[in-house]
Amino acid sequence: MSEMTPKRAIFDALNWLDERTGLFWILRRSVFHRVPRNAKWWYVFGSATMMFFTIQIVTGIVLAMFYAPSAAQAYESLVYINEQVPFGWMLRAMHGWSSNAMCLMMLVHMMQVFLHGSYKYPRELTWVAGVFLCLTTLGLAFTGQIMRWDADAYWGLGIGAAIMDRAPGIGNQLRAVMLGGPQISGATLSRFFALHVFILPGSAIALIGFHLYSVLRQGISEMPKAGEPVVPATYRKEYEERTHKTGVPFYPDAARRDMVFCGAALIVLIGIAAWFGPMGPGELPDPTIIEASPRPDGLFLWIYSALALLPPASETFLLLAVPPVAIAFLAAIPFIFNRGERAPSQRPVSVLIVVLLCTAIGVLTWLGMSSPWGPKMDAWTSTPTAVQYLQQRTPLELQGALEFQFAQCRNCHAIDDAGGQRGPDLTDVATRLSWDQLMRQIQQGGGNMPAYGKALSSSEMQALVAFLSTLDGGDLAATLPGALEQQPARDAVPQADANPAANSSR
Amino acid sequence: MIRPMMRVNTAVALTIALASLAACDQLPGKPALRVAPPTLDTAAGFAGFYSENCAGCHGADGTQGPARPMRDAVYLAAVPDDAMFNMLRNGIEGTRMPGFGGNRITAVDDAALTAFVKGMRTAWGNASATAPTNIAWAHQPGKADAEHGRELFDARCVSCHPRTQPVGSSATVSGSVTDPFYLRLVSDQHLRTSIVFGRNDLNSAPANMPSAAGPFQDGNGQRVDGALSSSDVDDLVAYLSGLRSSPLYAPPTSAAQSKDETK
Ligand code: HEC
Ligand code: HEC
Repeated sequence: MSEMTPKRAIFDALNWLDERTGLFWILRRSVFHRVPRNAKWWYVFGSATMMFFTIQIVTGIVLAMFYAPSAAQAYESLVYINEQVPFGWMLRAMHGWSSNAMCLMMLVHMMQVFLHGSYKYPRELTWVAGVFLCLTTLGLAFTGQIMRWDADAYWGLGIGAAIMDRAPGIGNQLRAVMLGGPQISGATLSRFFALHVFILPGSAIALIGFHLYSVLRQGISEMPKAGEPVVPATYRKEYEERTHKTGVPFYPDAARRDMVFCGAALIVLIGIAAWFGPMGPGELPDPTIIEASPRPDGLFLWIYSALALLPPASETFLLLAVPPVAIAFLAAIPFIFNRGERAPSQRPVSVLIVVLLCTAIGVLTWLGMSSPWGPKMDAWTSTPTAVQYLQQRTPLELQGALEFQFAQCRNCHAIDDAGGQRGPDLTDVATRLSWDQLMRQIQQGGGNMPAYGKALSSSEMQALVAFLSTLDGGDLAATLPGALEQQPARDAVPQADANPAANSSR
Repeated sequence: MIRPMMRVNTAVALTIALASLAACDQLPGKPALRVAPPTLDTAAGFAGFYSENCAGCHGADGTQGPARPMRDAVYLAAVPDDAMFNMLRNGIEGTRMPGFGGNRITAVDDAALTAFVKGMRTAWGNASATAPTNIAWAHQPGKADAEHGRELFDARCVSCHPRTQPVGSSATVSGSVTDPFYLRLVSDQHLRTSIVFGRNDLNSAPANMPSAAGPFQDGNGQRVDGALSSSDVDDLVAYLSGLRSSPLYAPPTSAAQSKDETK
């Protein structure tokens, strides 16, 4: 036994630990494993995603010490964190913005991997784990915005529940599982809290573990070169030879780039958090105060727009069928396109898909932010009709104006610029369409408009058309023989009532 | 010489660090203190809820909407709290008045609706306002003399509300209230409310809808004074209500002709 210096003691202790756990072997392997020399700045996004995840864990744990996950106190506890806890607002700001940053980096990372074809043999499962990580991360972002328990959270839950409701047969049950009862309540918050702080982070950590393990095991892919297709039979051998010959150790060569990028990203994050502050909490979920126009967080804006723009008839199908199919397809990509060229220049369709998806999501997000077109979901109760369209109207025409609100026509159609912009402005509709054409348009729909024939009784139809036939854009002359001229005297034949039972008993 | 230099440097660094710590409190991202929004039972809180949920039908400022005005102290004083609450919570079935409470996702809870009714009374009500006729607001289904209602209608209403009203002709804006298309869309309560409280916010030239206090017009358009009694109102409602089941008359546009137009 040699002399015990402190240095020696530490060394011995570490050796003891290593002998029993093999931790240092793992560490050495992860730090010094060889990576292809040409793996440069393209490869930093995964690390950045993980850095943001680490920030989420740390800030999340601190936030959990102050946050009260009960319907009565959640909101107040957030206000408390904002206003009383030293730098509590900064903590919330970091957690919120870092969540967005994490999702963004994750998507960029995914895009890079997709464009470079890195998911091909032998990294299929790395990609599959990545797809599940993507879902988990989006789940964390969604459940996180519920934690605010403000009007926006209500909105998110309401939409989620409405989507569940559409599942044929089991809609009600799914909704009950999601909300912890028939409606949004304290149980809903507890449920989402458990998801947000236990289930999803737990899954994320497990998946990240597997993801990293596979990265280590398979090595990171080289920069793709045209003319060097992946051939499973020979790929692994060649890869190993190449990295052995020309590769560089992960640390310090590649790690340096990761650190520079992560450091810069962290500084930007702190800047954004300090400048823009925490997200919400918005208006109280207190039902005695009603939020004017709740919106989801930026990340989900495109879904909000898509929901608003979808033709209503196809919504159920698109909402229920498309996501599972899309996710299954995403996970299946490495198995379907298992081999062959990796270089983007040889895979124009993949590039096109990425460009199209990015454009679509970008445009939808932009629309979601401005959404001048979207149905104004509350126009039917909130947007008054200018008095000149109500004065000098008969009782039936006034009922038509009411039906126009009640059937939520107003959410898509404006009168005098007030109301939704999704359908045409109807200020002068009577100069464009005849009485019969109005009837037919309402009954049969067309364009993007649903058919209301089955939904409206004959009295409701009659009232609506009577009202619309007075909208002459302030005395514009009819361009066609419009409804104005055609408003017929109503003295002739009795018309079979389409649905007398629905109307007659009061 | 190096030591004092370093001390100065450390001091400068410390000062900067402390200053930036202090400045953190003034970073632009720091949220402003929250101001509690007004609650529903105050006039301001009520107004917000009203413009979100009612203005589309009952008018921007409580008048001049297609549905009857709510900014009407006499009317508000006459409607009991619980009846008002029930209408708001459940809507009025079969009409275009939606409910705002109950089990739906966007539902407003009962306490909020109660507060809202209170707020509406604070903003627009006046407890001492009473209708000159003092006729109760609530419609009570029961025995009423529809035949007498018809006579009353002929004697007091028909010149403003002709039985056949050419659609869209603004000759008589009051229009036909005997039209079954119209009657099937409104409740008996609405008929009663209209007759008892009248309506004067839409400036319906040549004359507004009078309240039960009158004055009315006879068949020749001559002024008829004298208020309606409570049972007169019952009879009128029974008469109008009975017309709901009369056949619907559709406008005689020819289907063939309009088919040509769309081609
Ligand atoms: C979609 C249109 C619409 C909206 C929105 C609406 N109402 Fe109504 N309301 C009506 C109609 C139509 C009637 C008449 C129904 C009938 O025939 O009895 C009515 C009737 C009423 C009545 C009873 C009137 C009577 O006959 O005494 C009250 C009170 C009332 N509404 C209050 C409200 C309040 C308060 C709101 C907002 C929270 C509101 N309404 C929102 C359409 C609407
Ligand atoms: C001086 C003319 C006049 C007389 C008399 C009159 N009304 Fe009216 N009434 C109107 C006007 C005008 C309206 C339409 C309200 C408006 O547009 O301001 C109206 C509206 C109504 C409505 C409600 C229509 C709606 O908005 O749903 C009913 C019901 C009604 N009247 C019934 C009667 C009855 C019953 C009588 C007889 C007791 C009567 N009116 C007498 C002018 C009159």
